[in-house]
Amino acid sequence: MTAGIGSQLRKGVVEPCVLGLLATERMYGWQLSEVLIEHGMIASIGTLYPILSRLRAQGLVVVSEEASDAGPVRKYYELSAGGTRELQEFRKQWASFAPTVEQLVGEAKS
Amino acid sequence: MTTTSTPQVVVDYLLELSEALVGLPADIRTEIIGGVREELAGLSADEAAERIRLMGPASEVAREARDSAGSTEPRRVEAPAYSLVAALLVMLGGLLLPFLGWMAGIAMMWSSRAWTNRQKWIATLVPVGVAIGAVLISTVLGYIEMSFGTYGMFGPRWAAIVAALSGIPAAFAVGAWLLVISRDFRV
Repeated sequence: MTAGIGSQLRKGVVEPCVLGLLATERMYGWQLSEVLIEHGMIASIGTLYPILSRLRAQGLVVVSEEASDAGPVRKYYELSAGGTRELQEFRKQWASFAPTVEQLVGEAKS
Repeated sequence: MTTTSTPQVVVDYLLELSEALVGLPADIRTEIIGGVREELAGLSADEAAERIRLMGPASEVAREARDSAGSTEPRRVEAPAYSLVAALLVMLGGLLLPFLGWMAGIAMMWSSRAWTNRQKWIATLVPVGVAIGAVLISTVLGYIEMSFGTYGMFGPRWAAIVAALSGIPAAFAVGAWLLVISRDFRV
């Protein structure tokens, strides 16, 4: 049962985490993937784009392209109004959900 | 540092990624390739190689994408034994059945997903190029011999033997190379 627990947990929360990151600032793909990989939420950039694609399809994220003088044309992702509402809803549910799980699972004894 | 031309390492990686992503929904595939291309744009070859190292092998990125997209693995339509047989036929097929055996190996290789198109072109053209080159050199040497009034081992009459003697080792080397780089046997 232990195998894949982390993976299952991550799958359940990675989309809200993307929304949470985009709530702080609009970001491009690589930028998002770096933060998510650093926090162990995704394994590679390959994981990210299907998530972004789903979020776009649900209208939670919008995309804009921006050319820069020094670098490539970047595709920036940002929260839509729907994405902001979705994130607020998740925060509300998570606030009660996380303590409930902790209570049921029990804290680790040192 | 920015560059105007696209480094070969980027072209190769994007090609490999594009092939590895076959079977995923088109929008996700486009999104991933676009995102990676965007990230590698304007980098020098060294910078791009380092960025690619951080991204990981194209096959791994594709595997993660499949996992994340919840799609099944459509690429595994062939057993690893298929690419093994293809590479072995490229190596040794010409010895078992002159030319036709090698051709069968090349045909199997082209229908396999274990190699990129670029690798397949290299594997096809290198033995042919080596054989043609050897025949040309042999022919030139033959004419030089004739100009001295002697007839030795060189010359147009020996073309088939020269082609075989040079093409068979080249095909063997290419077949061994295919085995080494096959996606099916990469660890």
